[in-house]
Amino acid sequence: MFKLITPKNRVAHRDLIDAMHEMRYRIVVCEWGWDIPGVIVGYEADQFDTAETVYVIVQNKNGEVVASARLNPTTQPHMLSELFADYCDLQPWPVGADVWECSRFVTERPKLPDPVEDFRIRCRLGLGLTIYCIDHQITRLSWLTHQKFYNLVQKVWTTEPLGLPRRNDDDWAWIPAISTIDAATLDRQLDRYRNAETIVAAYMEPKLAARAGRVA
Amino acid sequence: MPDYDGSSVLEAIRSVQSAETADATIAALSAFVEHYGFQHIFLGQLVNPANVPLKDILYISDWPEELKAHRRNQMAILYDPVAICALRSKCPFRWAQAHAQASRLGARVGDMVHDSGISDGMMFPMHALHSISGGVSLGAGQTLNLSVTQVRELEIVCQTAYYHLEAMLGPFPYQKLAELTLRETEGVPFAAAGKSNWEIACILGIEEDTAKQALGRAGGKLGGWSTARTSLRQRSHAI
Repeated sequence: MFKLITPKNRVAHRDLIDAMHEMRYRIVVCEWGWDIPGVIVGYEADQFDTAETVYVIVQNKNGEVVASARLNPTTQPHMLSELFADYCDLQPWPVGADVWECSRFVTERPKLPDPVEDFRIRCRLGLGLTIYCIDHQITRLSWLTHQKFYNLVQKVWTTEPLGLPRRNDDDWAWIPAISTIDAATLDRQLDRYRNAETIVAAYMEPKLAARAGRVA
Repeated sequence: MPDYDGSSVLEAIRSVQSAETADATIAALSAFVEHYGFQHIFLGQLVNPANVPLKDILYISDWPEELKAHRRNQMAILYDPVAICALRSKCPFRWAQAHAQASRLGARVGDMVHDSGISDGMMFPMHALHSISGGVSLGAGQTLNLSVTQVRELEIVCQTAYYHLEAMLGPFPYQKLAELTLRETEGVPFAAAGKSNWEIACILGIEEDTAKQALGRAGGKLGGWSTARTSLRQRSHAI
């Protein structure tokens, strides 16, 4: 389903962590074009990949890392406190033992040609985050979300913004947000995972109809 | 913004999120946007009408009935300059920006809206993960002068309302509305009305081959276009 890499089991999963950083480089640097100061070619990592960071990693049937997310405690320096504090103009970024920050929510879509599999991989990543939080009494997750991703976060977790949409040079907006984690969230995610085929079919129906129209 | 107070924005977001019906959601959004001078809301998906009937998509509006009827009519969405501009825009924009680039038919849509007393407006495009999903279009009876911060406030509340409604009433199919060129956009509504390539060429003042090629390209972009053209022609004959 997914793997949780914590400070306690990190040594046993060194290869998996390296594969994750390599996947992140392919997506974050090569595909998204992010300019990350000091990044090593082929291996994306920054100052928020710390000794306390927890990773959720999803592999495909071949064992390749195809998705990952990282969690950091807000009691330590984290992205919202260090880089994006001024984005939080609606409410202060939350800090506490029960609040962690999620970042680098990444999926390698070129390796997921099947839309149902793509959907399930994202579900598995989200389930990993929620399960880790529930098991560790983490009740809220903070994020800096891309405007396209914000609505997906809203669908899964009860979410509200910490700040107004903020745009960079490329015109896309970023929205800092806080999501509540509880048992109802987990139920909702499990339902989405179980019903993946139906949900994806509903989204895909017009495209399939269009293709059928062309063939006819 | 060190002295900024966003409490009214948060209050509106919480009000929208706690709404249990579509009407209550729109009421919460209306109450918020009224403070900025907007009296009308159009909230809906921007999908290919050839493949997804309007009855199957997210579509809520408190616009005048005449405008709503026009919107539902045939493929009006394909030449609405605000809808076309929303396909290409990552950020909110004034209707005036879209009208400045409108086709002749598109300009008529703008005029019709203006004639009904809605003289200014803003469009907030809603982007899904892999394509545009839809938009929230706010209309006003007078020219507005909004600050950058006010636009950002409206954007986050509109976004919350849009996706709250989508979650409440959906799931809905996502399918990006095809991006048509000006020539293709002009020809499509006439084709949808059952006109032949020759008739369309005469109306637009172009060669028949040019009309044929433009509609062929539009057909490719619209997917099930040929089926829709046939069905629309049959429907218009039945009427």
